[in-house]
Amino acid sequence: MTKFLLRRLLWMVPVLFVISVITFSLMKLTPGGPWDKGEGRREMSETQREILNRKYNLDKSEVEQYLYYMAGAIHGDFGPSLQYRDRNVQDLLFDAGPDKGFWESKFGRSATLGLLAVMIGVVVGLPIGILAAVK
Amino acid sequence: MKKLSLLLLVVTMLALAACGATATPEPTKPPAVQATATPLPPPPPTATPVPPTATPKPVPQVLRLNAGSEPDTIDPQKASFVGEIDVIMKVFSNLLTFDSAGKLIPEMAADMPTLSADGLTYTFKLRPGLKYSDGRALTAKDFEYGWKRHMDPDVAGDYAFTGYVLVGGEAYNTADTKKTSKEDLQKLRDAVGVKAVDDLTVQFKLTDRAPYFLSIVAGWNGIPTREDMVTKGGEKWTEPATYIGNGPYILKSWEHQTKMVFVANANYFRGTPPIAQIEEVQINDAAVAFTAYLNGELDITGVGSNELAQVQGDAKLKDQYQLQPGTCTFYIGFNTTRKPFDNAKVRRAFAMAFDKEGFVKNVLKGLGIPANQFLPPGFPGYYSDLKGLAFSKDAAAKELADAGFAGGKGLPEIKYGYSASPRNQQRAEWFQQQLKDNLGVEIKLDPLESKAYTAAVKKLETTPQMYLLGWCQDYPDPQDWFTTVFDSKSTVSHTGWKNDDFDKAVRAADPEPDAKKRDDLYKQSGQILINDAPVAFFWYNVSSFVQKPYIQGCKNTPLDYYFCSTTIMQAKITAH
Repeated sequence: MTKFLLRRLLWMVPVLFVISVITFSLMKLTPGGPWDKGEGRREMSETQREILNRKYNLDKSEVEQYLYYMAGAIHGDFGPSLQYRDRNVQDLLFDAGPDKGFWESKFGRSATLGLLAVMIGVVVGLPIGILAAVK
Repeated sequence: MKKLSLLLLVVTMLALAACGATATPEPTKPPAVQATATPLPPPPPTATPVPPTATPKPVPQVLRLNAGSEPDTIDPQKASFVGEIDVIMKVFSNLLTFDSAGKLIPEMAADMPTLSADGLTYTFKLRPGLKYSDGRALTAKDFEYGWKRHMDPDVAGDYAFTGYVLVGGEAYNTADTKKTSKEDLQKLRDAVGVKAVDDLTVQFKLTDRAPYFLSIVAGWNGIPTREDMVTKGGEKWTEPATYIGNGPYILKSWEHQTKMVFVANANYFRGTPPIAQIEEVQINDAAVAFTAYLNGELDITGVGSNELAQVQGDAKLKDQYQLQPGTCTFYIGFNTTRKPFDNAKVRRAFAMAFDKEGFVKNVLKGLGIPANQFLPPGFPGYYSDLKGLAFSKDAAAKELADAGFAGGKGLPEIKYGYSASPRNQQRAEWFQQQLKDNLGVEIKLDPLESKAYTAAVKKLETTPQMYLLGWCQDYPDPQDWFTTVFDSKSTVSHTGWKNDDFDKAVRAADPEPDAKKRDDLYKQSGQILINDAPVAFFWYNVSSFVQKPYIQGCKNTPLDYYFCSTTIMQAKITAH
């Protein structure tokens, strides 16, 4: 049993790695960039774009950007937010503000939904599966 | 199969986590309006007579507004959007400001600045005894820090370009921090043309004469951020604990994505503003905000085309309704590098072939003002005696015939590009019908996905032949409009238009110290812009909102940074 669990847990690492590569590539492949301002807002000059890209390492190759990102992500540092320029991503995800716990943060709420989904799956699926196997 | 289900589970959880973080679309910023509280019922009449000298309960001076959405940043040196500037200008104040008549007046400065004989050095003397909200003294060094931080390439502020007129501004801002040594970066920073000569004197050295610089220091550029707070708070210095300013309000609390609360700053040099507290929620649905206003939970709210009918139909709401010119002009852009719009006659023909007034009335439902020149009325750079290209079927037909395309014959295929959305589709179809009816020309509609459209417009080779464009004011000066957008060196017009007479006029106007001569030159350029028609002016936006009648003393102006900013010291809540 332990060998089984261990194997499953170890499989998570390459799976997460593949998912991170896919997600990262998708973000890079979609048209537009983080500095596009959308309708009604002033577009940035080329000079300004260059300065911002240099600051956030967006002028580097995509592989390098991915490596920078992963190097931080492993330590729980997901980098600065490109939209909310005063905050970083881990705060946006995990910090719900003063006097608010983890479960009220964005990640906390999503995790709650996810865990509930898993619970429903187990609570409904397990008995049905057992029933099906027994019958 | 087992591995697949694990994969699916992880992907599902990640997808759910990602959904929580999508940004909500930016709604148009509603004007600051506080919701009104539901009025208290009158006290029941008492049996025993009450002495008439009972003191009335003071009216709580709390204003409730809707910011619409969470600002991306409230760092004065990074901000670029109205919602962000709204917060910044409540908490901070600059050297100058605009009064309710749109005139430049001293704010932190004791007086208007003195200008050197060569027109390149501005010297500001600060008022004595200025303080930040925490009591610490405000000195010229803080302004020096604010401007240098504004030009700091590490801060990478969107509006750093407003400091390029300062000596050394552009060099510092465009320095590559990865390739430049710390000492060299410090040298570049020290070389920026802003200096605290003494505690009460700030001096700016410019690269060129620039009368518009005064409008820049009346805004959020170069605000005296507190260096000790930025150091202390680091990345999070914009949180209330370290977000210390010198303006009329203090940011008391910020519940992210929910609410911001401001309290009056007793250390503001003009005194404590009468409205003691401002609460800003973040309701980004216009209908929900409107309902909140009707329920007395907001004191001001925006009125869009969906709410307009209800407002016009109700006598009380109609009374509370206000319409102000906005700070933006919208126009049909012509790519002058592509046929047939390389011909000014064709451009003029198209410019006169659609009914702007009809558009404002029928499509915008009155929420707009027809435009016949670049700047909106009431703004410096608007000239009432400029002759626009008014809607005229005959004049349009004649221009087209003069160009050799009588009745539209011989014209190449013309595509009108726009960012796909139901609203833009409706407007494009209106425009297409207008050209068909009034000019006899059939154009093809070419909608593009939003990001793809933005990318296409950026390069002249891919810019559509015709497209809708707008320009919103950065600071109130004709230079920010005429030169910034249409000088042939500009990169934001997207028209490829080059006109030597126009260039000459604006380049002479920008540094011209004589105000009348300057105005005449801009007026001249404004007429050239209309006549040569690289764009066809369409409409000006408006600020449309309802405001509770118990808010008194407030005068809403198009130059307001936030609700009633030019009259915030007179605005108060009366009994209701």
